[in-house]
Amino acid sequence: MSSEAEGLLTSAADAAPERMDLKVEIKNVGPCRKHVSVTVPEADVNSVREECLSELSNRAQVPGFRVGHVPRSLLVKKFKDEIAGQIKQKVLLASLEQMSEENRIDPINEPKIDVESLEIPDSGDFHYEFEVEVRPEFELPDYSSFTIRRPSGEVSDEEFQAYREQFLAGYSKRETVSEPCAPGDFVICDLKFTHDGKVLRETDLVSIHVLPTLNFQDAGLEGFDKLMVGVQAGETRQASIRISMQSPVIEMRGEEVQTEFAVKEIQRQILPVLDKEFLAKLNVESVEQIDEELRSSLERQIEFQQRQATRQQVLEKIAESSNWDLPESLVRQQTENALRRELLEMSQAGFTRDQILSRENEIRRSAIDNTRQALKEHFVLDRLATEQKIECDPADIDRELLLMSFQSGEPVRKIRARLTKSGMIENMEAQLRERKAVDFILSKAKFEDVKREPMARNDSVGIRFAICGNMNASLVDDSEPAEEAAE
Amino acid sequence: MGVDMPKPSEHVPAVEQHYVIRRPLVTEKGTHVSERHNAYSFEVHPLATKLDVKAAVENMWNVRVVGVRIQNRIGKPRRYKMTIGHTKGWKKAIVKLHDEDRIAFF
Repeated sequence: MSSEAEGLLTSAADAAPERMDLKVEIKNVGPCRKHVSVTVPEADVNSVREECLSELSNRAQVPGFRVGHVPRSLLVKKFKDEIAGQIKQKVLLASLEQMSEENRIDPINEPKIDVESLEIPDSGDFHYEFEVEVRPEFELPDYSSFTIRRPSGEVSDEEFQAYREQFLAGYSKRETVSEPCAPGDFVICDLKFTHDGKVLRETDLVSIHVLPTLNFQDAGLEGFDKLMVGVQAGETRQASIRISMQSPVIEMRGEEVQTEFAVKEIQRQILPVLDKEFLAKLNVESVEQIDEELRSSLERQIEFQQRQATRQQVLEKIAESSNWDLPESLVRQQTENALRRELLEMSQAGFTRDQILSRENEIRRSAIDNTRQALKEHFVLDRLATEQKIECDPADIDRELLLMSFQSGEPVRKIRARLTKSGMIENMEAQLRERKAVDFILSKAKFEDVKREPMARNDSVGIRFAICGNMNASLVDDSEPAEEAAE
Repeated sequence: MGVDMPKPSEHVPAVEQHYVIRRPLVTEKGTHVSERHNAYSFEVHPLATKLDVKAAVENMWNVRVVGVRIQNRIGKPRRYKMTIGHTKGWKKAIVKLHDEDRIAFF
C-alpha cells in the first residue's frame, strides 16, 4: 500500500461515522456466547464509499494530474484495493460500534471476525456474522446478610520459631556430610520414574530438601522425610507416587508411578551466625529488629490467611447463590492469570520463594477449579466495584509496592520495573480493586471469631517439573533469593 | 483534421501493428479532451504514420477512427555536470473516434 493511501486510511478511521440503518440479529449459542449477524444496507455502504472517494480525490497524487483533479473512475481503478480495504474497515468499525451501543452486549474479548475473507459487494447489502463471548448475566447476591467466620488468634512461639528458621534458611550455606541423612538435610539424587516397567522420566542431580511432603507439578509424595532419613550417599530409595487427576496427560491421571531416588550426596544446611556482618547485610542493627520485622511479616501472613478465609467465605456465599455459566475460553485464558495473582498475593504477604514454589505446584494441580471460582469471584466483585464505583488509585499501587519493598528489601523502583515487565502490575491493579470490593462486602457483613489453624508451612518442598508430560515453566523467578536480598 | 484514408488493401504499414501504440497518455488534459471531443492521446512509435495509428487503434479497441493528429515532441535539453544532452524525442497521436465509440482506459 502506498504511503498516501496509508495516510488516507488513518484519517478515514478518525472521521465520525453517521448512524446506519443496521439490521442486527443476536442469538445465544452456548454459555456466555452470542452469535451476531449484522446487515449493513447498500445505501450506507455507498455513502461510506462516496466519503472515501471524496477524501481520496482531495489527496491522491497521480502522475499527469494536479492534486484534486483526478477523475473518480481513475481513482477507483488505481486505488481499488486500498479503497475496498478502507470501506471495509470503516463500515465494520462503524457498524460494530453502533451495534454494541444499540444492543448493549457486553463483550469480554475481541469478536472473532475473519476480516480478510469479508468482501464488500459492489452492489447490494453487506452482511457479516461473528461470535463473541459476553459477560455472564447474573443478579448480585444480598451481601448485607452474610455472616463471616473469621479465624483469629495471637502468633504462638512455635510458629514464630518455625518462621524464623525458614527466613534464616534463605541465607544458609550447605556442607556435604558423610553421615546418614537427617530431617532438614538436602539430598542430591538422580530421579527415575517408571510406570509398568516403562521409564517415564529420568532427571539427574536434583537437590531436594528433606521435608514431610514432596510436591511435583503433577503429583505429591507424603512422608518423604521418613523415606529419606538414614539414607547415605550411594544408596537408593523407592517410593510410589500417585499422579494427580489434573495432570495434562489424561491416560496417566490417578496412576501409580514408581520413583527411584539414587542418592549421590547429602548436604547439611548451616544457618548463618547472627553477627554484625550478617546484620549489616540485612541492613538492620540488632537481632531484636530482625525478630520484630519477622513478627510483623508473620502477622501480615496471618492477615493474608484471614483475608483469604473471609474472602473464601464471601465467595462461597456468592457461589451458593450463583448458578450461572462461565465462558469456556476465558476459563482457559484466565488459568494462568489466576496463578499469577495468587503468587503475587503470597509474595506480598511475605512467603519465601521455596514456600511459594511448593504452593505453586499444589495450585497448578487444581488450577481449573480455582480459575472457575476466581472468575466467578472476579465477575461478581467487578460488578460490585462498578456499581459501587470502587476504583484502584495509583496511590494504592504505590502503597502496595512499598509494602513489598519492605518485605523483600528490594527498592520500589526495581519491584515496579519487574512487575511491569512481567505484566503483573495489571494483575495487581485488578487484585487491589477486588480486594476493595471484598472489603466493602466485609464492611457490611457480620463477623463471628473462630480459632485459627497454625501458620507453619515449612513441611513441603516443591520440584519444578512434572513427572508426566511437560507442564508450563514455573512462574516463580529463578534468580537466587540470597543474591537479590544482598543487593 | 481529416485524413485522406487509402483503402486498407493499399496501405503498407511503416511499423508492425503491435509496435505502433506504446502507451495511452492518461493525463488531466488528455482526459478533458477525451470527455469533450471523444479524442484519445497515445504515445506511438516514432516511425508510425497516421494510417498505422488508425489501423492499430481500430484493431485493438474495435472502434471507428475519424481522425488522427500527430505531434513530434522534441526531447528537452538536459545538462549533467559538463555534458550537454537531451531527453529522447517521442511521437504523440491524438485519435478522434466516431461519436458512438468509446475507449475505456480507466
